[in-house]
Amino acid sequence: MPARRFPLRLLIAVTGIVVALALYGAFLYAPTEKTMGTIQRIFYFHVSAGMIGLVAFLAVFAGCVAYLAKRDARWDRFAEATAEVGLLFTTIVLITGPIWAKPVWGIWWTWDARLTSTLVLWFIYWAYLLIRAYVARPSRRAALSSVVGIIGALDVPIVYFSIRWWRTQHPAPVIGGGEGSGLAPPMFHAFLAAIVAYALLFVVLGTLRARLAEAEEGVDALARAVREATEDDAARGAPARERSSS
Amino acid sequence: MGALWAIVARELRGELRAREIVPIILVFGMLVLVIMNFAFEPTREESELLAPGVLWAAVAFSGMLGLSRASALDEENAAIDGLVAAPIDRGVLYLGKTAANFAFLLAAECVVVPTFLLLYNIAAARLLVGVLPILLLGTLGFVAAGTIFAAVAANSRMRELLLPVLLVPIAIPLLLAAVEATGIVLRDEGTRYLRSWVRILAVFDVVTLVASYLLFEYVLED
Repeated sequence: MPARRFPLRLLIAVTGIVVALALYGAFLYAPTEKTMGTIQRIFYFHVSAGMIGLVAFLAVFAGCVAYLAKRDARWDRFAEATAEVGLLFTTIVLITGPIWAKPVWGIWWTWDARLTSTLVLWFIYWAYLLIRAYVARPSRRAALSSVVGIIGALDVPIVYFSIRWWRTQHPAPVIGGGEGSGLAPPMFHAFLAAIVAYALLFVVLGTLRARLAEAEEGVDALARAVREATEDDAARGAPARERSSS
Repeated sequence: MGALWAIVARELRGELRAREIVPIILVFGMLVLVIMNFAFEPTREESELLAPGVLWAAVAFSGMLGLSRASALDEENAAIDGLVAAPIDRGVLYLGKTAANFAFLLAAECVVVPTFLLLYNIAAARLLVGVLPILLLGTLGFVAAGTIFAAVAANSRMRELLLPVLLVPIAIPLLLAAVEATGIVLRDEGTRYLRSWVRILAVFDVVTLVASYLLFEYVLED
């Protein structure tokens, strides 16, 4: 929840420093991987964005449940903001994955369990954001999207298990090693820095997005009030004021 | 449960009079079977491989069409407002609509599935015993999610057009499990993996039904 006195500026400054550190860690500090070469460095961005993308999904779920329970618009904005940033991070995962896979596996995409689950997750994020995009009234939008968000989140474990079982039945091309296995300490430090950087970015972007949504709602409420006032005047026979084009 | 039955009876009576849902599902379902044949031109062996996916593509695509139409009918003349005004629990209203949509889709499948057996040269006896429970569980889950999402979509500016992008991502594990389970039965591969797939179908059905039963009131509120 974006509290009023949230020290956003300080947080943005800290995030900037940590992002710079993470970039340094990924590109300069961490040694070049022996077999994969430079392309392995994408792993620092790819995996950490994926982890925070999953956390974001939990946050959306929590926001949706809290909204329906409390009917506080702040929870709806929280869910919206976390969903948008979650979608952004999951998109980063889906873009960096193939860039890494092409030179290493020789293919852009394979229907491996983790790739497939991430893709489905990405589509569920879209479902949540699309219903928001096409419902205008704020209270309806909040209630309907919360329903979609909750059912979507309940679906995630089922997606995960079904796709894992699907893959154990039809083994995918063998993927050498497994990414997490045997990280050298400098690599691990760079990885940690990347996770912290993405986590901070998530909080900063989410807070900014939630504040933007709050401002949008304020503008909508003002526009509504103006419209009602002019309609009242018109009903009383007063000369109609200029109306906005919307 | 009197109220539940009243809802189901109302939906079935409406469909018997207007016949606007089942015929659409039925004809479109058969069309999907034909289109898939043109797309893949399967040989005898390939046909066995493709068949489960073709069947579930037909069920899913035609089912979505039927769910859209059912939800559009609710919006016409604000019929849904009359239902909402009735002294019935919203969850029960959801269960009644789901039961009716389930019946519509099953009625269409009574024609689509035999057509499928015929066009894809599948031994009917094996399928009817083994695939029937999968067909029932899969259709129920699809309709359970589809009924609530159709109601959600009907409240949007896009109306029923939004249904597919809401329903398909959520239904992916269901369709995956249904296709895999159907394939195992058709290829007679025993029950080792079959059990996990049927379990996924059952879990999806229960989770979706319970969650939607509890959440449906938020979809209808004004």
